[in-house]
Amino acid sequence: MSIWTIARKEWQHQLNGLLGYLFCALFVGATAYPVFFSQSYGNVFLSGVADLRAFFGAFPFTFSVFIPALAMRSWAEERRLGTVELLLSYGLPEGQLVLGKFLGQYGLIVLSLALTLPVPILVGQLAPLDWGQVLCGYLGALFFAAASLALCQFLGTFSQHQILAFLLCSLAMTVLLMVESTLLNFAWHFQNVARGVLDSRDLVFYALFCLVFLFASRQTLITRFWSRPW
Amino acid sequence: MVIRRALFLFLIVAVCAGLVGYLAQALPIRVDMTHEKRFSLSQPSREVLAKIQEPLSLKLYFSSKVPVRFEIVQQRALDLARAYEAAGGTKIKLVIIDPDENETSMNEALAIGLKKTQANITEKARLEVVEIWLGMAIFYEDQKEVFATLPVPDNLEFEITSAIHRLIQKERPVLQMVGPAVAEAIKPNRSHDLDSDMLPLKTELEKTLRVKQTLVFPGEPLDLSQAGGVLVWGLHVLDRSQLRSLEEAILRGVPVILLHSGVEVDTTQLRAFEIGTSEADQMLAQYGVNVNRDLVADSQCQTIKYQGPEGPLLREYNLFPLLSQAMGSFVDTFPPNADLQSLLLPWVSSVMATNPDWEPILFSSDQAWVQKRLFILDPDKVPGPTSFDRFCLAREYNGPLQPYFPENTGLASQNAHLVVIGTDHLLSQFQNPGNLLFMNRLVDYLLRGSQLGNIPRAENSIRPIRETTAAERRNFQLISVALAPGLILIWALTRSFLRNRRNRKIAF
Repeated sequence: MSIWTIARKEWQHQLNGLLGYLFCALFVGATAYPVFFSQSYGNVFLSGVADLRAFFGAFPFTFSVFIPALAMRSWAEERRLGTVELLLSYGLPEGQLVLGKFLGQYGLIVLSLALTLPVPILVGQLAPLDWGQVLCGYLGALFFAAASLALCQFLGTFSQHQILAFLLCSLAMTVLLMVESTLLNFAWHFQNVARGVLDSRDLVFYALFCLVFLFASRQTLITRFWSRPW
Repeated sequence: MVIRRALFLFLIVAVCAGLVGYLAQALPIRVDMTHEKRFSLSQPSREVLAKIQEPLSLKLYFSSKVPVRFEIVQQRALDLARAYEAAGGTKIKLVIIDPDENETSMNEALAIGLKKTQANITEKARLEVVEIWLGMAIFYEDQKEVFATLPVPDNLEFEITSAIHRLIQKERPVLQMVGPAVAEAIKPNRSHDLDSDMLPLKTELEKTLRVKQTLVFPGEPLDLSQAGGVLVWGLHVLDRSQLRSLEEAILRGVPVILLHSGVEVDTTQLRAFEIGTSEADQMLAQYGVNVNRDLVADSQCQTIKYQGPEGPLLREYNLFPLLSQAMGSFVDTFPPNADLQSLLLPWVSSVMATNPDWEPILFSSDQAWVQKRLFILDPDKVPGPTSFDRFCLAREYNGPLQPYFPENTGLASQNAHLVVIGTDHLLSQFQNPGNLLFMNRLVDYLLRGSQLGNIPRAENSIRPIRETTAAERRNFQLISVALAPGLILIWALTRSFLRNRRNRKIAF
């Protein structure tokens, strides 16, 4: 029950300010731009082809900016204001706290993704789209976002400065997008799913990544809470 | 104590996650969600595998350390090879070899004609060239098929299945490609050149067939006795005896594709002339089909590079109708059309049938119109429509046929199979990926009953969009970015309104 309470609080906190709405609007703009506005071949009007590769291709790099921006204040702000100690003193299990915060922020990402749906629907008005591929693209994006958010939240536990947390998370995301290994490269796993194939190797990779870093966040909370004041 | 326990727990979870990850890598489960199941082994491939009698060995010669982009190619090839292995049961053995591992493997790779592929990599901000093994060989009985470098990953299935088909099919059918030679007897710039513009088609067809080129000269006999199928273009220049040989083949039951234009186009001068009625037209009229002397222009057209007086220009060319599934151009019941996305038919004439058994297979959009007699080819000056209509551009006939030539009367056939397409210029338009695919499928359908042609291909995943006006495009752009923020705004305002009302209630 506490998970949902924290998630709701986190969700409301984002939507009470301008940041959440700005996040959604910019995210939609950044993903729609290559499909309808850019001067490259990803633009469906220039290429004359109903192809969403440019749309889904924009997701990893958009996430690498937006998710750190979203996650930076998750723990850093709590630490700066000292509210994390208060939260922990309520006797809330650390795991529930981590999961609640994660779900609250993940909800905003899901909402942002849902708001990009007009793009494939509009392209679908121009030519018959392969909806199976589109579904895979969105599923891949959900898994990608979950793993990235878990990582960024974990890195956020180490800093009480939002900017520092953002830079740290952005750096980590960039490394994961550029790393020369098919096993660890986030973009490669996403591309694999977005081409229209649900492969357990990609989905399990993201799921495990998410699980490990959520657990790591919990353990970090425990060790920090018991080792020294926040 | 607590810290130690926390770290210990984290280590356990990390190790467990590593194990699960390893298992997921070792035992992959894949679900292909694409419409055409483009990344799974298709039914035509499975049918070819079912015909394998002897053990077949599929050997992948891969370097173990390669740059990431080649790792991706290797991974996809390996997934597909495993699918072949699983579908082939005990008859297919998959072997993965790194020739760099030992000298025996290296010698084996070199002996079968493999060589290393050069790959550019960026190492510490420097561009380096590395050599890697990225080849494949298929062994069956005492024969082999070798790919020195893996073909495009998305079309790998077609390449592998075609190779297996070549190995197990001892006698490959012969497709005879017949057309007028570029000679003084025939107008220059008219005939397609087998060694240049038609080379992609020939190369493609040779993967599964024996292709025999026959250039006909006026007065020379046309021998079609070995043909398992015939593809003819420039039909109007064939003389009476050549047409009679063609009819003999048709009446023998040899499937024939006739690419017959109603208009003579000089592509370099951008001029067109109506072709006078030839013997070929009379022969077709006897069969119940006519290729009209007109040019179909379509609002659904292709952007092409056009050589204008001041250099090359990109123009929308109304005389290059771009047929697509979206506008219902492809008759579903015709097997080569299955899931076909686009087809470009340049300078096409409409095909009319007097015999109802000639089934239409390709249509223009319903926004097409025709030019008659006075043909204007300049993209800038193509006259606009006086009325729109939908035109049939190709037809198929399958059934008994009354001969045109009295000499062939005794050969009256019960199983003539003909396809007539109103242009032969599609043979030189392989920049549109659908054209190569369509011709490949058409030949496959006529000669083998669609055994290989319907293997999903990357080219066929290209879906052309319908025609849009500038205003419509602006609307699309506006909706794409404004709809979502608009919804957010409405939601935010509603939320704010409800919250204020609740707060007022509490205050009251």
